Amino acid sequence: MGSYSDASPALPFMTDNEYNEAVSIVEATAKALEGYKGVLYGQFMLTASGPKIVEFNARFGDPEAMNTLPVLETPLIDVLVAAREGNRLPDLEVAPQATVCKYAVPEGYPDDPASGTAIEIDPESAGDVLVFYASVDGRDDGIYTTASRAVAVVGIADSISEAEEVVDDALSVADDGLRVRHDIGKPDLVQARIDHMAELRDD
Amino acid sequence: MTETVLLVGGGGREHAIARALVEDCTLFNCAGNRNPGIAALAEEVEVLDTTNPQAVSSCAREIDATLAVIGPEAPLAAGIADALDDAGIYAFGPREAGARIETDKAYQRRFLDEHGIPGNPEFETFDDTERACEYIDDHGSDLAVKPAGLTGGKGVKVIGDQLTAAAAKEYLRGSDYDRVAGPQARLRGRRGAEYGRHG
Repeated sequence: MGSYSDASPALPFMTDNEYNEAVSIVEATAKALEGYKGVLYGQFMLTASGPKIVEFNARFGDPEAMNTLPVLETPLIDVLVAAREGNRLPDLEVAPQATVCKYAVPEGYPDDPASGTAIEIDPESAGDVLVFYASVDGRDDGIYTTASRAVAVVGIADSISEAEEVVDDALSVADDGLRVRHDIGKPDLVQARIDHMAELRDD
Repeated sequence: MTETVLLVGGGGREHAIARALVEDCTLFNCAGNRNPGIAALAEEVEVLDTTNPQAVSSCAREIDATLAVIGPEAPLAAGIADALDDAGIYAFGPREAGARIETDKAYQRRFLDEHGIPGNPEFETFDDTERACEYIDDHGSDLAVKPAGLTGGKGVKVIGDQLTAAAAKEYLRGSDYDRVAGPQARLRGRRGAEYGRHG
């Protein structure tokens, strides 16, 4: 239903060491996978004894690709061509900005989704966000929901809370027939994660 | 030389990939659905079954693709990268055997274990659902369970958070999968992001 990234590589509830530990786990796994090509995406749970592997995915995450690709400054095509040619991959440049991504899903999703709702984005906020479509029905008079995830809105700003605000503004008109997790990326939720990790580390 | 890229998949992730590529290449898309966001960026969208290797490689040949990017996991599991590579079109995405790191969770845990990758939680895999249920009985509540195979991001259930031990056993018994990966030791901590892992 949503995901966020910070202006620095680590997330607010982790230390730089914990972040680097997760990166080294991904690197060790990529090295062990002989002849592997494409994206290797490590999903972790942070514990008091460091990051633990939830799973590895063989492609970009969805929604997480919508957080990372918009702030990737290195042209993606350069990465693909280097991979094809067997050249050293370019060092990735990432803009130091936070992102928040929220998916709007049909009311009742996933058990009993209501399709056919018109998807609207507040026009005043639309210029400040990126809109990515998922499973939607494009008709002559607009874009409507199907039974699956409909549309993702991504805000990019200097902080998670600023990025969250522009996303929530853009989605403020989209609530009828659509469901959005308004809490994702809100300061009190992020703080709750920081507090929870502090508590686990103290145990 | 301008690259001609075939993007496979029609979700939000692929819309983001399309946006990241469109300025720097000639972009085509094939997917099971016509995504209006991708359609606005790509030269053409061909609606086809993205798990059909022949359909995807024919599409790539027709447009003279010099590269392909595969977004979702289902085409990877179906060997689409193998088919494209065999057709002489480099696929950015693992071949079917490489994609097992995602598509077969029991293999994934064994692989991590055999290569001494740090951060791999304790795990058990079972071919017999009843043995998995006995394990749940013996090891209490700090477990997560998952049927083996691709479950569209909906497979993992955490005992305690999402369901009781009894419901976990019902879940495994009711699954249409031959094998069960996990139960895995449940980790106390925080996931890297707030995801709803919903289809």
